Amino acid sequence: MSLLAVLHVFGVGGPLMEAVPTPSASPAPVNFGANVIGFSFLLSLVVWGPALMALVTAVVPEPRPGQRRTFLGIAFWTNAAVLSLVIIGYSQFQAFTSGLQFEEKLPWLPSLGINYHLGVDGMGMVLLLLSGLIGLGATLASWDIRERSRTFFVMLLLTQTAVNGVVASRDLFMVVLFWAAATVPVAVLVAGWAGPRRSAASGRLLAYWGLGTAALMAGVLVLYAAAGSSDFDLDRLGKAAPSGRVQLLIAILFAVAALTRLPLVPFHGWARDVLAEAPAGVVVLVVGSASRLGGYVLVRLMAGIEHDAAHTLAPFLGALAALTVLYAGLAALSATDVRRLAAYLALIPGGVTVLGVAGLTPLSLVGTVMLLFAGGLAAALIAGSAATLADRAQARSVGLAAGLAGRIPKLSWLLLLGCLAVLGMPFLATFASGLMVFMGSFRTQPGASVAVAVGIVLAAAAIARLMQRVAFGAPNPDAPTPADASLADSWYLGILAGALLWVGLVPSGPKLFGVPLLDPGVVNIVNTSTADLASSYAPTPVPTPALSPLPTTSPSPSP
Amino acid sequence: MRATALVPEVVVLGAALALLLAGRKLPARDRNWLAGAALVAAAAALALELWLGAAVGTLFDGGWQQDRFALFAKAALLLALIVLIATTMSSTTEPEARDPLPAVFVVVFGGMVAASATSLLGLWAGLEVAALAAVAVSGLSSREAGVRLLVLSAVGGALFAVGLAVLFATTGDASLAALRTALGPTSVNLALALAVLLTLTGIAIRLGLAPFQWLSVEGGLSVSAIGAGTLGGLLVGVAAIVAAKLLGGLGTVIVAWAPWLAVLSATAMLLGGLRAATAASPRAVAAWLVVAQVGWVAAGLAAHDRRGSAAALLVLGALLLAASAAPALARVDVGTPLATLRRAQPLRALGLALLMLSLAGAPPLAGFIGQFAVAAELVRSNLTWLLTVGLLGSLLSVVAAVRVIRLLYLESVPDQPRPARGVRSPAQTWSAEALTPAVLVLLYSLLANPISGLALQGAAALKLP
Repeated sequence: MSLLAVLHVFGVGGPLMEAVPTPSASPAPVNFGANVIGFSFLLSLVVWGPALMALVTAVVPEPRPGQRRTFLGIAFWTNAAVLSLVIIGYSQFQAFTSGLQFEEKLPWLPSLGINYHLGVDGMGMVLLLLSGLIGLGATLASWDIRERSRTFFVMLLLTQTAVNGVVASRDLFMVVLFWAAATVPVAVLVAGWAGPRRSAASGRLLAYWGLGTAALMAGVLVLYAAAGSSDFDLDRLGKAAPSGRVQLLIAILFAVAALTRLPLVPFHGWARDVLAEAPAGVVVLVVGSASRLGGYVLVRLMAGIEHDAAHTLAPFLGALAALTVLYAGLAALSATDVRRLAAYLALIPGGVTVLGVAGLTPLSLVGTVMLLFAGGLAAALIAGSAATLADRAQARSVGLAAGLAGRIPKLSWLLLLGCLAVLGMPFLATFASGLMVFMGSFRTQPGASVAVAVGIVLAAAAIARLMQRVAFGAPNPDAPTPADASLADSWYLGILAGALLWVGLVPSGPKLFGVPLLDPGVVNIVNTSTADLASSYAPTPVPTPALSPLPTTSPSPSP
Repeated sequence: MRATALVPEVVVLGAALALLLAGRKLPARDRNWLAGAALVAAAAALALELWLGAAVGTLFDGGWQQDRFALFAKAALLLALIVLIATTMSSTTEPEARDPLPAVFVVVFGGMVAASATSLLGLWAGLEVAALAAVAVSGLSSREAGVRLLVLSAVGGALFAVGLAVLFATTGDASLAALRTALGPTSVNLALALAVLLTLTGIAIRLGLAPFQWLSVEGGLSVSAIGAGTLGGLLVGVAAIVAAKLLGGLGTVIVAWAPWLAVLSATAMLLGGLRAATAASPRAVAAWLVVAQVGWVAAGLAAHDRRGSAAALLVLGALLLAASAAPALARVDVGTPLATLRRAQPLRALGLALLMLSLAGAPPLAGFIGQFAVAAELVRSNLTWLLTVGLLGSLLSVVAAVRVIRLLYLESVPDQPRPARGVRSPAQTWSAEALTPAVLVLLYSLLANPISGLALQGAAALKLP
């Protein structure tokens, strides 16, 4: 608590204190601008809009030579519209209210117990916001894609649909459907537009993500069978209480699915090549939103449903988190390729996320959910800025791409900001969330927490080395002349950096005379829904021994 | 029940005869409209089936039965027939698509007979008619392949016939209803066990279930697109219909052989995925993907309950749509890269990509919906090992589908020489027929609710537990 008090001085302690889950919901303050626009099918638009526009992109006739950015334009305006819809939903979201909002439910396959059920709680809303920001950023980062641009943007939009679908779905069949649906477009994006190792990278991605999909599907089916349920409704299956061994099996399957996507050691085989070889737009999309779904599944399905098994698995998850962050730090220290170094650093938010799940305390879980948002932005910023920097500097080697701060200042400073975000520096969104994870996890997973902290120190050393050489070192006379960020690069990196700073500075949203203004605050939105989810992990209060009534003896006369 | 229920069968058989006569009598220049007429006849038969087939009942003293299973099976076969004709018309030369049409209609007719059969004789007759006609379709494009396929088909037919004969000899009755009551768990003896084994193996050959996939894969690759679609799509469908009806008739005895069916389905799912992932040509990929998905159909049947069979029917519908059309869409001239399809026929390329994904079981297409339903039943039936193998096979299948998509969309197209002044460059072909199966596969997912409802009613009609 004393640390929180110190933090309060820096303006972040208040939101953190507010973020500690409270069992009872307080009355919802009305946001300025709330309920101005209402949609009963907002989530369907957010999920299916990109898919519809992907279909349009696929069938429109080939544009004339002078209109080469037609497909980019379709993708850009689609993502801008989706982000606008998400922002409307976000600003109208009733924080401090538990339960689903913007819910849509229709029977789809009643004979198989499958419903078209969409809805978001705080966690889902924040992840949709992340997906919207990342989707727009990924499109802008793909400004220079000219070769087979139709296929590229079709795949980009389909991936966007899949990511939004996983987050918004409340039926486990649909979760599996969208989760699996992300695999093919991402694999095609990597196979078509990555660097020379694209075949291997795409194959590995297919193998790992396919394994994760199989694990998730098996977990869902085992849960469905064990619960004896007649449908795949998440809320209904969440209340099932299978036997201990079955619960453990389900939790392991969910964990494998999540860890392949995040990714965590030893399921990280796809990440290095994909993040170091794919174009910036694909990297931003994969590391920013598609891979965050792993953390989402871990929190929502494993920790949210299988409480006892989560306790059993927590030490293993903590160990894997520690191993991942240590591995990422060490590998980054020895990397000589800017993109590979950034790829290793981009693994760190995932490791810290899993540490928060392993902590299994209300505070660590709230921190985890916030870190899904902040970590996605940070990982996208560092991997995206490194990809763009290597592209603009026409060099990937740390030795060759040296002394760039003076020559390409925008990209250099944005790369530095991404590095700092990964480390969880104050005033950035990752700081508050990372701190909550560490504070929440230290008591239950002390060893893993310390190991993760050591890994972050190693990463800091790697970042210092990177910045010392690439940004502020002596320029290499043999290096090609670099070019600074283009307008599109500046915008996409600016969106990511701006969101990190905004949430870092005002995590509970801006207020005017105590009235929330438009942004209800990520912390507030996350807080209540995660409190419901984390209530099972709240420490049981130690019963205080009943005090025996004081003897009503008459004061003895003093001698 | 009124005899009008037989009108769809009459239309199909009549169309076959009319097409045969027209092909023989009309001069070559007047035959171009035959494929279109065939399409109209198939569509009419489907519409009539959906209208008249909704009435449940029997004819010929119970020798012919129209129930929900028959409705589902016949509608699926007729839809596959429409898809096969449409895609073949759009992607192959006219005579190649036109000449085998009468035999293709006979294949469907055989399937319709089997779907309404109430006895072993009806099942045998339906399957044999369909198999012979399918071999004839294939033989029209390659006599050598036709002879080989005839031998293979005869082996399958012989095993099936011997098995049925022993079954009849054991129980003394050929009707499926009598079999169901006569055969109980206590009546299993060596002769009966051998009979069931022979019967299942005979069907597995026709079904193209690995390791007996010669007919649909090796045979299918050496014949024309319409022949491959008939062998890998329609004939597989007919064999699956016969298998489902027979498993319903064999009652509790089949439980003893369910592990055999499960092993066959596991082999098909794994081998199909593996061979598809390593196959050289898109047609071979499609053929092996069909084998893998047939494995899922068999897995649903191996669960041997109402829900498992309903899930198998759901996969079967998706399989029929994709398997009938895939060979025609995947056909490219020797030495021509697949990527040229993207430029020359964009809709056909898109259709092929979607069909490959559906055959691989990738979401949200029809194949995924059906395979998920089967997977749920496998877990419920404690066949988790089979599910594990199936998921592995599906993973390999998706890898194969992505390979085809990569060849289609990511490989560069060789530059074509610039046409001389005044000469028009070859225009893109936007043939909507090529997209028909893909649209149907998408619709199948969207309309999965009524389809799965009908499949469930169909499985209930099989009198499964």
